[in-house]
Amino acid sequence: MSEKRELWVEQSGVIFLRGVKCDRCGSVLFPPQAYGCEACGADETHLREFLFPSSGTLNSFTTVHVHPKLETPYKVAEVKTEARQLVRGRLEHEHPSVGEAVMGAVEVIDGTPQFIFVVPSEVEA
Amino acid sequence: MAKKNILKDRSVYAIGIGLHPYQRASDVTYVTLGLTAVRAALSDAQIKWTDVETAFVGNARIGMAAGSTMLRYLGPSDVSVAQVENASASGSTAFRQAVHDVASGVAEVSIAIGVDKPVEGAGRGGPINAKVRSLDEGLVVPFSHFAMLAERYMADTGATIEQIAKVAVKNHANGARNPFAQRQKARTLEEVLAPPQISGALTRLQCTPVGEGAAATIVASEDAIERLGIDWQRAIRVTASASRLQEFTPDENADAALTRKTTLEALDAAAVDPRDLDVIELHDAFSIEELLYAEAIGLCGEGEAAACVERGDFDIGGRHAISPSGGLLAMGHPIGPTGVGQVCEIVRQLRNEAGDRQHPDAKIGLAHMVGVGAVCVVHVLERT
Ligand SMILES: [Zn+2]
Repeated sequence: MSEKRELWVEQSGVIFLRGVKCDRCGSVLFPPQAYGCEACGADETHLREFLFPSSGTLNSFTTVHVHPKLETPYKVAEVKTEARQLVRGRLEHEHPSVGEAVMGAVEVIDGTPQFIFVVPSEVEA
Repeated sequence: MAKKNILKDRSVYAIGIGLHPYQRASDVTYVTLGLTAVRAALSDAQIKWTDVETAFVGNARIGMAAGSTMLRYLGPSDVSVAQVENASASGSTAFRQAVHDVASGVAEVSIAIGVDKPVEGAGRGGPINAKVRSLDEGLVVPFSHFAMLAERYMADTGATIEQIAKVAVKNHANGARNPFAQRQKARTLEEVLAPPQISGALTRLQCTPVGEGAAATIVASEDAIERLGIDWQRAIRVTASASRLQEFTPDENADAALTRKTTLEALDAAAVDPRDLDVIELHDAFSIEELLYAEAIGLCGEGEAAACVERGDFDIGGRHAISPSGGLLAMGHPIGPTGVGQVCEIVRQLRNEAGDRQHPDAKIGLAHMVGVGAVCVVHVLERT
């Protein structure tokens, strides 16, 4: 039985995301895959695991009020990380605004650790 | 290398259109839906089923062999049939195949059919399993993707929630005059803004109803039009067809970029300036999309679309009529039929047969669809 690898990893209190980097064109791709580089077409042998910081700015966000399975409302964010990659995930923020700085955090929900985006100050507090 | 425009050398005309009204899921079988549209198109063109040489059936929900099974009920013929699946652009892609069959000389007369209905127990689209996990698994449904685009659009342009909602007010007013529309009721701004809220700025009436229906368009060569004695006054030329797969564009709005590139390719091929477009049917599954795509198509400058809607520029009788059928917001989005239904509306408008929703003196039309993947398919049609 192989253990399911998480898409994030914690290193000295900072949450990094596990993506892949193309060694031909330098693009960082997330989520990770072993099919080929969407940016330049290099095959999977050119894709190497690459950890990048989950912090970035809010490209956009929304509150979801209707969902076939999940409890609502909740917020989702699309974050532009410093690796130039757009990453989407759950957002925990009362009053978000486009352009604001956010970072990844891990919260245990129902016994399972889950990745969420938060505002940096809330982590310190 | 520029793509070859086969439609420049060999002219292809839309000669017949037919629809089954778009509606909520019902007990009507997909066969009845589809055959209603095909027979209406044959009758509109005043030709027989045996005159049709090739058929393309667009759908995404009703499964393997749906097209061939349905067409057997039209009786014996030499027709060649293929089913086409391209997500929400399935119907548009079926139309593109029919047009290219005639342009290439493979057929003189071809039909594009879109037919679909919700199937219980079927998945909500998407490939079975590419095994690429992400952080937002299940969190981002289509409307939350577009709600995020709306939030970003408001931050970038200063547009308001009310301005975005006015797209739905306009398109519901158009749909109220379309007997084939799923939503045939004009709505006030208050009604459009009223709950239920779906995601972010989007309320229920700013999201497309996905039901069932069918649409068909017959295309033919000049020779076939002469041979079959078809009325030239009612034949509308297809002057461009473009289709693209979305590219990796981390630094810009991927949806707008895909539409901009595909539309540019089509308009270039047809040698048409976007400002000369009279009627546009675009993928307004969510109100915000009309604003993004109107700008991407080049109907107005970046960030200007909300003001255009407010001024009535995109009304029937305005500078460009956008979604005179009611669009996906009011006519509806039964998936397979939608792209073919757009072409039906444009043909009707360019023939000057759209009755009380006629855009005056419509000469050039553009049909635009996007589908999950993402893909974009654009056609340009002209009255000659
Ligand atoms: Zn690459």
